[in-house]
Amino acid sequence: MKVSIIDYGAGNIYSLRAALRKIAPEVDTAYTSNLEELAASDKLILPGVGNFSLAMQRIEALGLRDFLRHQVLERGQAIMGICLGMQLLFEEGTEGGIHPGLGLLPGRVEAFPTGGTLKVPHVGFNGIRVEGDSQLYEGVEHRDFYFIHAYRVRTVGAEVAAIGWCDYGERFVASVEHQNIVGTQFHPEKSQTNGLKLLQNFLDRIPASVPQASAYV
Amino acid sequence: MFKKRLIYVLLYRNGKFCLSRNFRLQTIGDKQWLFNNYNFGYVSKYIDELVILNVEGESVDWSRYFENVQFVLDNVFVPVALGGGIRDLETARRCFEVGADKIVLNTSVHTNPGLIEEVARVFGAQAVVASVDYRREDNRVYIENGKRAVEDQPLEAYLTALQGLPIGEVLLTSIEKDGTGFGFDTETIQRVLPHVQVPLIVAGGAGKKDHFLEVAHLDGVDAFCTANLLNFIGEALPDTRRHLVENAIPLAHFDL
Amino acid sequence: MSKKIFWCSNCLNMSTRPRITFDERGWCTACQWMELKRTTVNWGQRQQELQELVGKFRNKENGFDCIVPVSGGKDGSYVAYMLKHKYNMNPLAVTIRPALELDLGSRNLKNFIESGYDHIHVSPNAKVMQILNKYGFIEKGFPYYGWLTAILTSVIQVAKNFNIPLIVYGEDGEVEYGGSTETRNKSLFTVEYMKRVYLEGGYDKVLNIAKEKYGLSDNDLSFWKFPNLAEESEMYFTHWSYFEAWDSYRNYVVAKDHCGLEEREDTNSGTFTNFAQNDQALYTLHAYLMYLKFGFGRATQDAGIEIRRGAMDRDQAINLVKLYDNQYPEIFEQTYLDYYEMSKEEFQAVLDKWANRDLFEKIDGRWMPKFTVAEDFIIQSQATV
Repeated sequence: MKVSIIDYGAGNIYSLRAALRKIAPEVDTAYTSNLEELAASDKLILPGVGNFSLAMQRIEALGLRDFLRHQVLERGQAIMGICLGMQLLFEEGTEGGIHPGLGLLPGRVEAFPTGGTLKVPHVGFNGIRVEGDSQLYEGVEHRDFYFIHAYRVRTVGAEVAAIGWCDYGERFVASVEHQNIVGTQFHPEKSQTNGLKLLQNFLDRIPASVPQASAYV
Repeated sequence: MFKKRLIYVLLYRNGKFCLSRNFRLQTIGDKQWLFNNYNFGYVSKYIDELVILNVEGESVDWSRYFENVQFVLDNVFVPVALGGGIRDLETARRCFEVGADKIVLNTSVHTNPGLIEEVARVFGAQAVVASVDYRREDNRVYIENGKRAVEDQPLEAYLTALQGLPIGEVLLTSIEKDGTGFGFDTETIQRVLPHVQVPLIVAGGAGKKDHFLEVAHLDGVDAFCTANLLNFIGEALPDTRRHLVENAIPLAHFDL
Repeated sequence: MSKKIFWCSNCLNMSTRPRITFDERGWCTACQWMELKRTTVNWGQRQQELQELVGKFRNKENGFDCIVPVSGGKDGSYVAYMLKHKYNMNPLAVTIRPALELDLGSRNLKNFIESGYDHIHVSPNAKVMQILNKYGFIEKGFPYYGWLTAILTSVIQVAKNFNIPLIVYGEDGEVEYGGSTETRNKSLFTVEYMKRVYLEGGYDKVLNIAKEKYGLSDNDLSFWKFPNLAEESEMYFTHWSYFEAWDSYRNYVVAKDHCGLEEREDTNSGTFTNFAQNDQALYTLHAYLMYLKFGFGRATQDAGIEIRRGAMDRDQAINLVKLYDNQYPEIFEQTYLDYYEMSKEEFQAVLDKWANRDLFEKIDGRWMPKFTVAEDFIIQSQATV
């Protein structure tokens, strides 16, 4: 199997690579922005830390926006977005100004409310409640994962197959699963055995398949 | 449910790891010593985050620091913060490249807040931990590894002013309690809680597992840490985590 | 016939320690004393006694009213500081120069003096000291026996010469660290106690041997003589630890903050601390011999202090004792050989002589413990006729 982590200058993928090496040393992992190489991969991972707006600008500059939409929505390539990477899968973000995302999933990214009693950013381990038919959490007994973010998605379209809800102030979307498209707001590579099992599930259980109900193509 | 965090801090200087008492350092051992006595491949399963601080002071040998960091982090899958002596964006970037999820800024917070803005812009505000060392005696913040007091404002004012900067968390360390095994400076911590709007990590004084119970229940304390290199070797950190969980402190649970 | 070696159930003091006893919980005398310090000892009353004692001697017309033996380390510095600044006394600090002084120790002593104390530095004849130290090393397993004697005798000589009737030592080691409880409730002690307990009854014998076997004269041994004291009440010997709950970490903090005390940059041999016993190289050998004789070294002592002051739990301490107690004093080996004028073989032979074979076995040239720290250990001794 070949897994490619999409390189758009998004910073630290050191731990992600180490995690993949640990759980699946036989898997060929690449960190690249080369479109051919990405297209030839069995799975894609979209990482990310930092600023939504800046990230999308870079992605667009590399020609990755249209490429990924085509690969995921039309060719059914499996993709996992992590942290900012998950946020980018959605329609729109508000960090650094309003900016369209990849539009692969229905929803938008907004800031946690500030100025109240809730401490922002959301940093640390928090628990997940899974709704729907989930593949990512199969065999994961303890559902505490590591979060470090100031923006989040509050609702997703009803057609999304499985949602992992997290409570922080109010509930927000911590993970999404929709056929070949999955994403986690938390960092599985930072979440001890819980996260490693989840990453393994991405490798083992998330198939390539063209997503239905793609009203955003 | 949102959990609190047990954080372990390593103090690194000139190729060795140290114990600090009131910010005076005692060299303990090198990375091999650390491996033999801590083996973070195992111990990291019982902590929530690891911080590796460079306490070399004015001139830092970054390459050797990063080399040691990589050795420690080999086969370790825990959130990591790196820092100590960071004065520019390039060094911050190198920290992220070597595996940091967050960087710790201390002196720079006071002398060069522009750096925080830069780092926040590129890596996100949540990636910056503002480290604040203080003395209760004069209620002042001390920068430069505890050597120089920020005279013109008391601790509370300093913390309040931090809220105007794009930071993710505050790491608050009591210089007088540091390394003493006296337990945390709970009086000051409780007094300044209302002045910190971002997640708060408290440090300074923990010698044994009971000490953490002094602060772990406090509303407004999100994480607690120790840099005591001697007291927590072997099973001591796993024991501490078990002890906290038994005492109803909400900590993350991990599959075996 | 078998004998069980065991450890205090609260700290890590060993049953092998001379004069130690344990209560029904398995707590040693040091830990029992720690409890008493916190609960039943009437410190208010003892404070009062201290006020009375020093008040008796407080000299209002200039002149020193008490002597504090110091080394430049935390304990003497603390006592001197308290007497001068809290009790308004006029202490004369006295140091008896040890052999093999360490730079850090000298610096600390200088810092102490410069922080504002009157001080006398006594240098007993170093050649005589060497003879007595070497004798002590070989025949008693006490590598600085000469100095241990001189810190008692010459301090008293200074007191007598300056007409100072009060000598305030630091802590009563027997009471604080797990020895005899004889002096727990006694504010004063005597020359007789010094000879019997501190010098283990060997004083007269050692001096005789020094003269007969090593050709030392009475003049040579001038600083090693206890002065004739006319009566019991001519001179008062006391421990600060009787009047105020002894806390060696507190002493360290005060000495650091007020007397310029500095620590070693790295860890001291045989333990995990860096801020104590930095004045002379022979202390490390003394501690190592203690380890070979009894099975516990400096790390065990320091661990006990940490446990009793609440800084560490017993299981944490076990880790440190296992890691640091057994440490051959590599760092000073050549220094010792030069000082004692011995070859490495001769030196090792003396160590071998004192190693307790019930507790240790030699593996690859080093004495290694047969026991595991904190695990009951049975010695099967051969029946002897």
